[in-house]
Amino acid sequence: MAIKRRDFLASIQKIAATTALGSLPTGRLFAAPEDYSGRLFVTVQAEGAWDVASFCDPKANPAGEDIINTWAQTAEIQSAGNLRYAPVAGNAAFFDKHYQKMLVINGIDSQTNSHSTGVLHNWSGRNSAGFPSLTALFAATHAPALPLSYLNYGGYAETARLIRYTRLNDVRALLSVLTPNVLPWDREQTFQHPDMLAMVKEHQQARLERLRSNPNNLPRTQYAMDAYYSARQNASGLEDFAAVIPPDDQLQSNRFMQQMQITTLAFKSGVACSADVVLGGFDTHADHDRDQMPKLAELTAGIDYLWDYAEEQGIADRLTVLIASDFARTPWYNSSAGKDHWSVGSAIVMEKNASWGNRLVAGTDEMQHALKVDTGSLQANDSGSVIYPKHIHQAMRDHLGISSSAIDDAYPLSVAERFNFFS
Amino acid sequence: MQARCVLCHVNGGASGSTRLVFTAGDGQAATNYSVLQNFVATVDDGDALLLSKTQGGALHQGGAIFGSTTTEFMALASVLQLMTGSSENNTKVAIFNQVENASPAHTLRRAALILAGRLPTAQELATTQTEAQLKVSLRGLMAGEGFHQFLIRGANDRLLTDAFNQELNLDVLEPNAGFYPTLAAKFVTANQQGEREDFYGNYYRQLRYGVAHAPLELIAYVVENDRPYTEVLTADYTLANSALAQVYNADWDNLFTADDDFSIFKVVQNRGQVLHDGEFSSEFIEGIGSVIDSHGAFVEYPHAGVLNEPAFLNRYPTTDTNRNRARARWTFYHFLGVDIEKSAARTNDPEALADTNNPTMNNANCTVCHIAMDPVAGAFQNYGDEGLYRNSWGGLDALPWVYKDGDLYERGDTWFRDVRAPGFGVLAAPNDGAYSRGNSLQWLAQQIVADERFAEAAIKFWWPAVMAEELIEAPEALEDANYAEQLAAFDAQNTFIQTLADDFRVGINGGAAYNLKDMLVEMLMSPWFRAQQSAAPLEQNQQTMLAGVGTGRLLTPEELEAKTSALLGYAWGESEAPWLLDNHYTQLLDRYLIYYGGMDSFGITSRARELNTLMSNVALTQAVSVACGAVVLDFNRTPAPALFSLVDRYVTPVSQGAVLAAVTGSATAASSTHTLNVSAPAGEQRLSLRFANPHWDGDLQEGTNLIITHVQIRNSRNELVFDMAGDALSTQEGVIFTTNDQGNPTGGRFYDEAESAHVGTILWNGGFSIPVTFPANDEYTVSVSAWRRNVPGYPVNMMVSVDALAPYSHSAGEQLLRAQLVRLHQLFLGQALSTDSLEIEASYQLLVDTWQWRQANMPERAYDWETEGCDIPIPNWWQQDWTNELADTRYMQGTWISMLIYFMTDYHYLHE
Repeated sequence: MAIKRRDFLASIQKIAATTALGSLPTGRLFAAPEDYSGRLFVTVQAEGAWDVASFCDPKANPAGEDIINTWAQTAEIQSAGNLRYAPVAGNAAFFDKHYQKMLVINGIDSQTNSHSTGVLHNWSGRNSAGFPSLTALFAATHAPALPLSYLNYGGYAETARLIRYTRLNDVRALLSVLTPNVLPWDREQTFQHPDMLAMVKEHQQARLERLRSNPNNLPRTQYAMDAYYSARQNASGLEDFAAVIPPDDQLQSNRFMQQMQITTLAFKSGVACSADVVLGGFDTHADHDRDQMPKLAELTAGIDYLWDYAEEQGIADRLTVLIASDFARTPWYNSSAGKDHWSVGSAIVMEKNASWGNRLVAGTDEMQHALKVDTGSLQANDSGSVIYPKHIHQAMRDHLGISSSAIDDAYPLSVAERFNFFS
Repeated sequence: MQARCVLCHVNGGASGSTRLVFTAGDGQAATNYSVLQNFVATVDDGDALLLSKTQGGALHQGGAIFGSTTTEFMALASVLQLMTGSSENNTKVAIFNQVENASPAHTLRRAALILAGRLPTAQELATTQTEAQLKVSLRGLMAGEGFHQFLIRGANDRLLTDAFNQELNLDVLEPNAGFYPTLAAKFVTANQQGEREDFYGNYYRQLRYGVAHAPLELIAYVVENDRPYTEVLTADYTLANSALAQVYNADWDNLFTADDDFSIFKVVQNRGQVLHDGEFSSEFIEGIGSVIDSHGAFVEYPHAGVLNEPAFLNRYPTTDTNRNRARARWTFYHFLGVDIEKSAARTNDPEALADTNNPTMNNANCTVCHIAMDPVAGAFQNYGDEGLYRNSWGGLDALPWVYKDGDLYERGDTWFRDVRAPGFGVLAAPNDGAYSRGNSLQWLAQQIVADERFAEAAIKFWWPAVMAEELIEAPEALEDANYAEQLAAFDAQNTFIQTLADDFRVGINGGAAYNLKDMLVEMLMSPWFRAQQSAAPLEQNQQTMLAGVGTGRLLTPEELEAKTSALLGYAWGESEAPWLLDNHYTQLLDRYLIYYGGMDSFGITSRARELNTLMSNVALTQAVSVACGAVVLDFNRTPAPALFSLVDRYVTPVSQGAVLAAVTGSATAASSTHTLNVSAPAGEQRLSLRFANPHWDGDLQEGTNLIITHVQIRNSRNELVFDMAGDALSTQEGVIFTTNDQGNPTGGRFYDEAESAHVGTILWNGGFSIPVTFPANDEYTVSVSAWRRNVPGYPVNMMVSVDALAPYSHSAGEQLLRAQLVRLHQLFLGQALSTDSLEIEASYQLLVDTWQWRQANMPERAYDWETEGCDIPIPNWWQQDWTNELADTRYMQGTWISMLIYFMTDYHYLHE
């Protein structure tokens, strides 16, 4: 009997909701090869809503109106290639150096002024709960069996039980965890003889296999057992990661940069394929200029470091970076010199040697209202469509090779019109 | 139903801009029926949508109104069926159909670990056979330090005020701010005396802890003392530790002693803040601080439970434009169970949110939240950005200067004129009688606890702490494949919560109203906590509904550490730590907390509930780190081992019997005789003689020796069945000696100079075994004569054993080991198994495998110091003589170390 497509999709989603994919045929279907050499994906989440009018969607002050930006009183909007940027923070250095890698999409309507909904919408592609992050989808599609396939440092990290994310913080402690049997006080020696520990692990895994094969397990138990089973199964390779952890004096002291550094090393050593890196502090309702500009500078410095370090480690060619935020900030200052929430924001996609690099989708007017954009030419056009996060996500899914997977089908974005961002 | 829906779905109501707008007032039934009919007729699947929304699904901004089992819901379903003519049968599967709960004993164990941080006692288990007894036992767990820590942890997981003990600045009690004169004076004095570092490192650190934990301790105090839970909001007191009590000008002398540390909290009132009014005068001196010259009366702080705890206010600070909305949002979330942000507008009109005409008052996309949120925000009117009471200059209000500088402000105002007035729902905060503007938060607290949602919110507040799972969210998108199952699960959970809340309000089972312990008992008794397995495989839709329910919760780092401590007697890496406030360091909580899914309440504010590879490695790191020390300490524990109570370290898979003997004679002629009584089967066995504690003395440059001079075996009738002189032992056919690193035997035939003859077999270390044939199944006495030499005074111990030829021979040792494995399965994994069960068989097989490996590789100690490591939790233990304790002549300590790793990395060890 043929299974109906809707039923098939439903079954995928239901199974994902109750079971670790590692134990399923679908998991094996998308299992990574032993040495993952595919694309690597990083989302950079600027938490709190960034001010794109002082960044990648720069706005001059309209004559006779309240000012949008203080800087615009004395400075002009700058360009790097086809891109435009505000001449503040570290923007000039960043855009001048990286514009050829960058696709800037302005005018994305997040349809909300609420942080939690904005985060949900921008990072899952839908403003209803339940969809996994793009990062989770990517990892689950391309390399679910990597030991730390999906790294997360905070921000939106819904996995929909497709995969589990890993948090990394204390790098020194990380070393011990990556090599659990090695003595902390003598890294040449182990607690248990490796042969002994291997026997324990083998028996342990066999026991777990017995436990999880009980058909009467309830879903929570089953999922937890499956998760533990695949966690243990995937542990090999962590030694490679441990081997590239740098000594203390070579670790980045800035936390945001350290996220970039550790992510790059995890990619390099083949234990991870996707990561959410986060930088908070953009919710500048008061003293906006004082607080937002340093954050923008920290953001661009961190992303710049990511590219430099990825180049140094030889993985820059494989890297895709998506940068976005909850939404944006008002094109005016409030009474506390702050800027409140504004639903129309931006996203930036970066890749080295991208044919679509140095591309700007100018989807806002001079007051940062969203414009309709033609899906083919990417030019403002009244017969076009407003860009929503779902359009970004659909394009990213297509671009990252997620769309063709059954996992993707289980989380449909229902996009009627597809923007031609990457051709 | 009409009455409920009309609350919002009317013109001007929160849902006045939706497709379903009724008319309020009497006599509108017919009109409203038409509205309903029209909705169903014009909206795609309108009937299903209405039923979904009524249950809280499809982004219903009013949340769940009626559960699917209520008469109201069924009446609505009938009406809609009549309207549409649909005859679709409701064939929903009950969520717990065919689901079996864990036994009372198992439930008690899980609850004890989670709520009390310990294992249940034997007596508790013995008296927990029935459901009724289980309730009593569960209630009995709710006392003591473990329960206190559960409450503190559970409350902090929600309120996150421990962030101030991490990296979040405590602005509300800033020494230089000049609002707390005692604090300011202490700071000034410390600076004047050059003790600034000590002030921050010691006193202020304790003060910060006091502030951060005050709301948590307040909740714990209410619960532990069986006070009505409503007091968490209505308490006119707070809790303070010694340092905070000083700043609050509490009656310190009668409450505290100098020995009370930072973790002792007492009930006090805050009488330590002053206003910056006309009587206040201070001078800031660089390097010294704010010297307060004069101030007015201390504020009679209008305590409103958690709501105006400085830590709560400071954790959710406000700004000039936020206007206490974050505080209102979290008040709704924690104490009314409403996530206001979820009701935020999601509009397709880009212009809808680009509104500058006071949108929170006028724009429907904004008012949907703000109509409820802003009055509550207004009730926080007296608290400034960081949470100080009426902190503006003049001390009359907490309004920002930018607002007071504008046109709207009028002298005497305490709240903004361009937002909704302080209140709650349709009620305005009063300004006469018992309540005034100055204590509007106390009024708000009374309104909240009187609201029926408060009881439900209390259950929701504690749900993750008990279940280790977030509440099921109502599904939002009708097109989702598993929408129906998720809605059913949400509905079932919500119905359980509402039902329990009804009892909680009036008193559960005749108990006191709002008793949280009673409520926790009901949660623990429910299948939401206890569901363990199904009677038969479940359909996929029921599995979807049950995701996250019942057993199989990953223990948090704190719970896992408590379990390890309860079993081993110490935590991983436990040590004194002068740099920590509590002087107590453990690896799991101080180093690997985040890696194991914990939170710091600041950067990481939610727990990871699913094991990933790194977390499983943390569990493995813990196991390999503690196993050796735990095994060695336990086998050598006096008066008796706690874990290995059914075996000693000489019982092997082949042993029929074994005894350890202290050999004292120092010459052949002075040999002492030692006996082993053993029950042996007929046939060939091996007699094993081993030097249990060989010792090399560096000063004397000699090692102890053991010389065996004679062996006899007699049966139960005292008949001699084996008799051999010592020197013949080493040449006996079939003798097997242990060997050293070079492969040479560790003993041999012994020539005694004094006797001028070969008189025995000497062992420098290790041992040997010889084959012995026992004529019948019988009780035998093995007598071994031996003496020792070298390193006078150092003990020499001999192990005498009779062993079967191979494992799996039903030896006495095997029976003991299986029994010990059963005990360890019970202790570590909570599993009650028989000695011949599949899992004991598997565990025994691992034991044999690892034992045989060690036998083949012959490490002399519990750990092979050349290839393995051991961490014994005793300071500088390696500088002491642990030869006897670490000696592993039968290789069983090393084997049990592997077994402990096996147990401590087991699924059931990490999950409950």
